[in-house]
Amino acid sequence: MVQIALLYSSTKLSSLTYNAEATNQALFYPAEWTKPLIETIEEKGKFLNGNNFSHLLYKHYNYNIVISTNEIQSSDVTFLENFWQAQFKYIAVKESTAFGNYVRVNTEGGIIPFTFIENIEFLPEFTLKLQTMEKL
Amino acid sequence: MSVDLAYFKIINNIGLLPIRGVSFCDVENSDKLHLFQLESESSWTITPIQRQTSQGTPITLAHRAELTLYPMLNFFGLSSSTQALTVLLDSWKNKEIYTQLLLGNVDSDKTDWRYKPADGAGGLTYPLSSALLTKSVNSTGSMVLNFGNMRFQFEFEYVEFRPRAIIRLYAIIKQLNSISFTETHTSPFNKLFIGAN
Repeated sequence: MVQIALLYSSTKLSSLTYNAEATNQALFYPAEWTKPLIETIEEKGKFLNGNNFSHLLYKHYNYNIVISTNEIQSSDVTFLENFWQAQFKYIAVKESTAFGNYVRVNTEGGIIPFTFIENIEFLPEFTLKLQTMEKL
Repeated sequence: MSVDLAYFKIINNIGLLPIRGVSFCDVENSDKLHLFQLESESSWTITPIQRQTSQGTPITLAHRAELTLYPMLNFFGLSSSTQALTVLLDSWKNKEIYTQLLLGNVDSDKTDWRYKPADGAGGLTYPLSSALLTKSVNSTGSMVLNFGNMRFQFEFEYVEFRPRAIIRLYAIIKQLNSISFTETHTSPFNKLFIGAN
């Protein structure tokens, strides 16, 4: 089962090596998780001779994550609020035995994505869409 | 043959814990109500609220506790004092009421607030004094289920020549250990609840 570590900071991390003792970090087993999806941005057009052209400009990874009620304690609500507002956000993923390195990510912004299962306030769920900051 | 042996082995080891009574307390006003004459249809359930994961397996997010209690309605019209009971029920509708379910051979002594009713005292005399009259059926063990605050609803109905009330209570329990299982039973069945606590 995949486990993720979310970390936020007011400054850029000097090392991206995963640190289990890092401050402002919380671990979660997400209820929904898929492998990071590649998003591409291409410049497309048509030459005067009629041929099409396409230049691949950038590639980024997208993370779609749902952290459900079973993983969210009251202290985690505060953590996720701070994560949402932080300048520097990182994610590390453990797919088998050890966490990989931190990856700096950004969110879509807007209202913090808490929803409530069956509209019950005790059952919050946090839906995150993250994208890597650096191009692949 | 082995099946027969297994059958006889469980005969005396299944703990019966019928609902003996229920105790309510409105923490805000310190109003209390103990009902010890509940019909056998009364029931309690604790069921999981689940969600599907992206692995295709369900996870449990919380539990939903529901109590459906059938107190006899006969005492409602016996005297002017019983009017206090309907007034009390009405004032509790939609409120969160502290609820303890008493199972097996348990008395009002076992409740947290240890309120021992005196015969003839107060407007709620009749249901309270019945605690001293009713016997627990086939049960020597006891258990008190402390559900904490539950949303209180009630209704009335008429079945088989008698009117009766239905009291329904609901709560969402995020962690099962927030229900206090206090027990004095020694059967293997009851050990399940010790584990849950």
